[in-house]
Amino acid sequence: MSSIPSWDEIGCIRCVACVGSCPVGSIRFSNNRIIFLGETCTGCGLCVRICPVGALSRKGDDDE
Amino acid sequence: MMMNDALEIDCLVIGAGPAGSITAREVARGGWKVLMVEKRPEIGVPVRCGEGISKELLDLIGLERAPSFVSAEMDGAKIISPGGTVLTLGPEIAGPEVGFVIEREMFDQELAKMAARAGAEIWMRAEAISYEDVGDHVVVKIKILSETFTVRARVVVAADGFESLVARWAGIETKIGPRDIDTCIQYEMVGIETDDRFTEFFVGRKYVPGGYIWCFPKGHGIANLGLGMNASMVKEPGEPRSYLDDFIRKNPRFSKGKITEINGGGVSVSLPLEETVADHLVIVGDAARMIDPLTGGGVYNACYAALQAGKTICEALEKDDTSKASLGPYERRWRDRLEMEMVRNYLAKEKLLEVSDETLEKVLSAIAEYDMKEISTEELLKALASKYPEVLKELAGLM
Repeated sequence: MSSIPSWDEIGCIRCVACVGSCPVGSIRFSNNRIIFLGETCTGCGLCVRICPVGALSRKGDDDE
Repeated sequence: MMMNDALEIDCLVIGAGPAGSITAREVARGGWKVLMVEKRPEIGVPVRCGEGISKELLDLIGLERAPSFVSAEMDGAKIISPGGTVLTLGPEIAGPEVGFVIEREMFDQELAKMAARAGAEIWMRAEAISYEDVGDHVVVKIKILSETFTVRARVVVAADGFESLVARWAGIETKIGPRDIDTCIQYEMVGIETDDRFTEFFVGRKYVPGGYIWCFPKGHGIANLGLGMNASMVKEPGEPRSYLDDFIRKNPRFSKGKITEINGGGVSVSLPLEETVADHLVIVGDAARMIDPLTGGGVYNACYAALQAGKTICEALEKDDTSKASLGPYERRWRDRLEMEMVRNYLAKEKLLEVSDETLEKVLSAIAEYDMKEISTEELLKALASKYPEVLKELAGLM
């Protein structure tokens, strides 16, 4: 579960590039929110790279 | 009114972009009962597109040019090298490939209205949440706000875009790696210096590695300034935006402009899906990975495939057989026209990811100096051979 990225709801532009890039289909866009289905996330980080505005980050990157 | 009993229809279209709306329109015109569902509250919003289309597209889909969605008409395109060499592709060369800069949300809404006028039902804020093939049809659950509806459809059209879930639900492999995805960011800006008859493309690592920056003018000092970048080239989170900001800051034509809109998106720069039909299912547009892997343009291919999908679905419904075999002609119909160019442009994209700015400079300046009669492999080779024969070796396999 710790592999799920942090989502900056205010910084997100809802382009859903992350949803389409997730290799395991673990990200959903519903009711204008990005939802991470933790159980299948492999922590590959592709969504973090794909986000054009940096609204996703690996958990821990910000705090430390 | 809608009731909680299952709704039985001929064709369910998931996603109201151009591919969805055109498929819905064509099937409705055939006299079949069609429902198109869109999860967003407004069709075409937010825009996720550079907003350039070709003139031939409007003829293809039978849409009249209207000021409501056409912002500006282009004469051609300019490609700007890392060193500033400008390769101008005028109307005699670019021809119907260039065309209009549009307001994409208005364009998408026009197409949805055409589908509605043809008889298709449209549900907004309606999200497909499950998909089950039950033998001779498909059962899809649709959620609108807090209510859930059950729809039984003889055929489903997956037009749910780059982030398609429907194809995955039907068991089709849709996974692609970072090298086959571009990440894009775009600003609409006002108060900038544009060339109002030409779209501009800035290519080379100097501007952005593994992609390009575009300027699509809408007139009155307004333009879309956007950037597409191969995901394999991104090193830090948020880098696409940083590259675009840097480009604008360093260019006096753009640095005084004001941003009036920010949008973005993911674009597949891959080969198309190996299979775009299954039992009771047809996949169209970005969901089928039909975007041109070199340019990142997807609207033309999506619309062309949607017309073929509509025709095929009508035939299959007429035969009362929506099995994979019965829907099979769709594959050949869209691939005959689009696939060869997609494969060629995929190879070109692969090559361009490796090419240095020096090589790119030589290629573009050779072409700029050579008086090309048309854009063709032969003409490109002649141009290069006349000036930089050694570069031909480096590009082996591309042409």
